[in-house]
Amino acid sequence: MFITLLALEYLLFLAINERINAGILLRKVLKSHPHLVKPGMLAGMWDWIHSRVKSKEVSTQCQSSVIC
Amino acid sequence: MTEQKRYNLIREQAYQPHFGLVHAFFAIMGGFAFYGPYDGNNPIVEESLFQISTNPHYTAEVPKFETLVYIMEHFPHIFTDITEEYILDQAASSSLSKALLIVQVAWFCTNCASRLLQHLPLSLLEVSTAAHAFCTLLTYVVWWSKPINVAAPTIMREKEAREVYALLKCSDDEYEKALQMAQERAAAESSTLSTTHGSEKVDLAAGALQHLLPAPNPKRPPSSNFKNGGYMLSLGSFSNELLTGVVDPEFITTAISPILYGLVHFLAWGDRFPTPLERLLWQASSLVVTCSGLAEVVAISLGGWLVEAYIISGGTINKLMVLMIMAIAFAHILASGFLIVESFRQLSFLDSAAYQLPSWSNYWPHFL
Repeated sequence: MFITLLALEYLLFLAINERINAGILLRKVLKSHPHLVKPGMLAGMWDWIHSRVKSKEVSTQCQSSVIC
Repeated sequence: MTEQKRYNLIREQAYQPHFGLVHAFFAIMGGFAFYGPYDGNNPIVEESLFQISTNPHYTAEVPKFETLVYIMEHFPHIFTDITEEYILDQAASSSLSKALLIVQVAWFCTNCASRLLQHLPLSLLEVSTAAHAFCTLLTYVVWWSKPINVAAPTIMREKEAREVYALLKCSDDEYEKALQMAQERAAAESSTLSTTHGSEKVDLAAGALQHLLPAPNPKRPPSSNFKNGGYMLSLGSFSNELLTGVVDPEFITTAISPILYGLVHFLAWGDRFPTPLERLLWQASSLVVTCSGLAEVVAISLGGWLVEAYIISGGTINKLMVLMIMAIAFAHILASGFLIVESFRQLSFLDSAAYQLPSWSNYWPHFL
């Protein structure tokens, strides 16, 4: 920990590596059990926007929700 | 729909098991551990968490990366049973504290940028701090979903987890016995068939294998399953062992992280220095820090190529590699040390413009 405080680039190296490993594990889970994978923050936002755009419950002109 | 069905549906939706980045980070950092051992047919009994430290016969074992992948492929429920809320509850930091820190660090970076845009000089201390702030910002973004400062791993002691643990601890002989027992049980369509092999480990492993039996030949667990307990929850305890590509991602991160840190120091390339020699040393140190990771990667790749091409023997190249890596690491530490010391030394030689404040970043809410 002392080394990581002195050499911040080493901490960054560890962080990126850990994120890569977590990504690999998630990809493996996505492959074998896709229903279990919870999308991350960005993927969740993308899914939400994408579902809004694709949804039939939106007006074609302004893509906003139709008030019934 | 009856009330009971509606209740069950809501309950299922509320407790739907899932595996996200939080689980993945927690697993990678050694947060999921099994409670053993099985030496001498020691049965595992239900005990409280506090008994881990007092009972010398029991240890917490952390699965290796390949083992985590195996478990996730075949027995995902033993991880997903532990909810994300439970994991985050153990973490010492919240999203709010992370967001506050990011705002503060981003304010400092904006402050430096606005100084440059308004042609105000940046002191070396500001440049060094900006390099640290930039790296911290990147680290926080990369680690956003990581549960930070978890003191102890979560011990998985449910029946299914114990079955998986027993399967992972099986020797080849025991695995064959467990498989046979699982097949016998499946044939009899009863999990309560009395054991014929005596060992509780085999009995539990057979229970785990029963879940995989619809497949004719269930995949065997990896041979070496557990990390040393000392690696638990420590930084960088796993390497990217499973990655087999043209370029190892660890090589890329080794090269990129010093570049990201070192590049910021080039902002002071034309700054005012106490002496021309110090300016030269600052420029050289910035270059060394920036290129050290890349040099290390090149040295390792070159060494590997020389051994593969039979130009130099493996023993000689290993010694040369160790020497080269030590020299690069020493140069990096020396250069980093100089950058920090020089940034403080320049404070005595600052011109008056360095004390002027930029106007833009004042509008950014921050703590002083």
